[in-house]
Amino acid sequence: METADPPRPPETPETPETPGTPGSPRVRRTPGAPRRPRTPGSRRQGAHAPGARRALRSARRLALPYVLIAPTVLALAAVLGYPLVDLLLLSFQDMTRRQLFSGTAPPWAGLDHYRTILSDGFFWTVVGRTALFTVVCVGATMLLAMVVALLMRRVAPWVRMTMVGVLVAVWAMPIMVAASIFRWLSDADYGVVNWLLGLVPGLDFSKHNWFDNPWQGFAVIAGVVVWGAVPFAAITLQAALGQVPAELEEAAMVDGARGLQLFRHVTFPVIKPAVVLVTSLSAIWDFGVFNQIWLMRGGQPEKDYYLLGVYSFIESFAVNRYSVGAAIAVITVLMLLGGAVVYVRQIIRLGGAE
Amino acid sequence: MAERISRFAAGVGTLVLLASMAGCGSGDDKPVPAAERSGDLTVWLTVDAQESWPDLVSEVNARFRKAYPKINVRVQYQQWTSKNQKIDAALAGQQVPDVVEMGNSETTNYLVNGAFAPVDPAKFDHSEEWLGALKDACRMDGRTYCVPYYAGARVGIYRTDLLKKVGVAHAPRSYPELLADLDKLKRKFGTKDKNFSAFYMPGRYWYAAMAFVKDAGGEMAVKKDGRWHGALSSARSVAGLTAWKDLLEAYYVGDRSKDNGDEPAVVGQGRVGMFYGNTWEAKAATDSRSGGDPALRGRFATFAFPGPSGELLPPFLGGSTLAIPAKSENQDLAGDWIRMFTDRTAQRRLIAADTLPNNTAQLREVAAGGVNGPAARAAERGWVTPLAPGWGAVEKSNILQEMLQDVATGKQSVADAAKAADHRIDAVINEN
Repeated sequence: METADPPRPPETPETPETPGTPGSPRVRRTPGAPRRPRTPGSRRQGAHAPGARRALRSARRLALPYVLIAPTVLALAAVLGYPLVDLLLLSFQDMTRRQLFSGTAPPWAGLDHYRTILSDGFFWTVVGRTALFTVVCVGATMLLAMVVALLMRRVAPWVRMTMVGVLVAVWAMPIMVAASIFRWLSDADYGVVNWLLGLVPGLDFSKHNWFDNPWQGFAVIAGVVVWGAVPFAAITLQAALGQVPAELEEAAMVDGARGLQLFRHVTFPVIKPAVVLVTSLSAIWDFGVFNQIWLMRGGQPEKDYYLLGVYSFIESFAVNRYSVGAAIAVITVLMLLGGAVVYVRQIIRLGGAE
Repeated sequence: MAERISRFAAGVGTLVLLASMAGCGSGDDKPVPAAERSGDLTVWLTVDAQESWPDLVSEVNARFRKAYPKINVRVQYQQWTSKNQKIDAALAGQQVPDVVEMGNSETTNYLVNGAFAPVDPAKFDHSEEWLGALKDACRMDGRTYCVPYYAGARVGIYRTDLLKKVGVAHAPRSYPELLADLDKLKRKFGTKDKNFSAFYMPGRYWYAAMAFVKDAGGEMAVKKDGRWHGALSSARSVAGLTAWKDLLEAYYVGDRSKDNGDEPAVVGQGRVGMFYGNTWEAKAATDSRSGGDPALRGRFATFAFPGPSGELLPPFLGGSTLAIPAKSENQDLAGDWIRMFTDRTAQRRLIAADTLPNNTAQLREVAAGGVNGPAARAAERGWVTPLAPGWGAVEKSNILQEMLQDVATGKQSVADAAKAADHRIDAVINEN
């Protein structure tokens, strides 16, 4: 297993910045046994093989990775690439139902749709709203997940197992079901949330509608999103925390590091790659959130509740401006790609660190 | 002058061409006798037929099989909420159903975009007396593209037992009488129970609110110089909306941002005195499958809902039509199936299933004392949504619902909300 040596912060693979732990036996042991990349055909072939055969073999070896990855690439191209290309083309056309029903080719519209969208103030409101929603949801998800993950290290094994069970159950719950339950919980007339809040002396929440005010409404929606996102993040972080060598922390404690200090300077640098990964993944998911809003607003979201995904869907399939909807989706994809760069860079760095 | 003549010539030319093409079409079909035709005929009906008149469907299929023994009729049932998305997807491809059911507020956009084949009304029973609300939704440029199927109109529904308890023996016959009854209900039951609504009227219930607009002589949208414009901010429309808001304000205590989607379930909780709904909702409120309470059976009755104008409140004439997609390869067979499914005997069966028929002649056959009698009376004042190409988009982007919600919750004044809604309607209503 590669994990025999403690994973270090990937930025500084040579100098472990473990603060003041020269005596750590673990650290001393690690410099040994660097893995040497095997050159193709170096050991088993021997010098007897004729040059031509050797060349063929090495060509085969070189081709092997590509052959192995080909099915994945092809499948991705079919299920992701083709629709993306189609979406891109659609956004430069002017597709109406007439073309849809008759099967004739839609006329080209060039950059018209993009110009309309980008000069529309409402679009930028939606973009800003989506970004804010993403930041809040990701922040809350990561914070909660980290707290849960840290807690799981401290508790007795059976409590930990129970926590994992609960997390997986939450994870396994279909969004459809979760959104319906949250919708009922926050129902104005019959919701249990209003009833509970009403029990607090001095509060009157009877008939309070959480969705009249979009800030409150989004708070409920963010609640569902975060609730659904915490399990994945918590379990991943917990796994990452398992990689932090106990000796490292013990040594830091011997040196007088406590609480937040210990977490910030010792634990966090080790799990940082996992944190960045989960954060970027959550950001990508939350940026494109659709189901939760759609379901919580009963399939009829008000204009105040449009995020990019909902906006694109409404333009495409309610107003039947297929091309405008496609252009919004393309812009969303481009924005997401910006976020994905962080994610991809992290993957490359992780690969480089190994 | 010259331009006029050439346009006339072009018109005649087109007609001749169309006529000759139509001639070709029927000429091709003739050689194969009906008994020899084979293949599939796919019919998309909504679940109403499956739930309320499944026998009619199987009988018509049996009759159809006698005429075309080798044709296999495949009836597939669709949900209203997902039906149009499926239809759009099917129409974009080559495998299209041969008959599709369309709500009368949905058809215009499809007609404008050439989705359906024209039909000859003369082939269908009572086509001279088809309900305007359904017929108009099927016509464009003087041709007919779908066949009226059935209609429904909303009525007042009240709890007979509760009204009796406040000393009222009969349903209200005028608007002041209605308000007086509601006042009595509110005083008797509403003071004790904070969750009792004398009248159930959720804020997003746009079919109800628009009935008040129509009653006041207002419109949702009007066509001027070939273009449609939202008309909710006209003085009459605002008066109607205000009357609706006053009614809601005085007698409804529930969530104002809801629509009427779960009306039977809420009414079934027993804390509603009267409501405005479809006749079947009275039954659903006593059916535990739809969230109702069987203990309330026999305690609901319907009445023709009086409007503030002094006349009956004009109801939205919701209804269904049957259309033949232009891409269907069995258009003649589809037409024949529709002819059997909408003839007078079939319509009689629909009346028996508490539905309104597709024509005024048979509207008279609806028993005045029956549960649907008030609906049949109100249907004569019925209205339809504007027959504008982009009306479907207005409905689906929730413009009316959001306006009403803002009015009901007091977020905006009636006039401001209506103005904002008109603005949004103008942006989409002329789009194909």
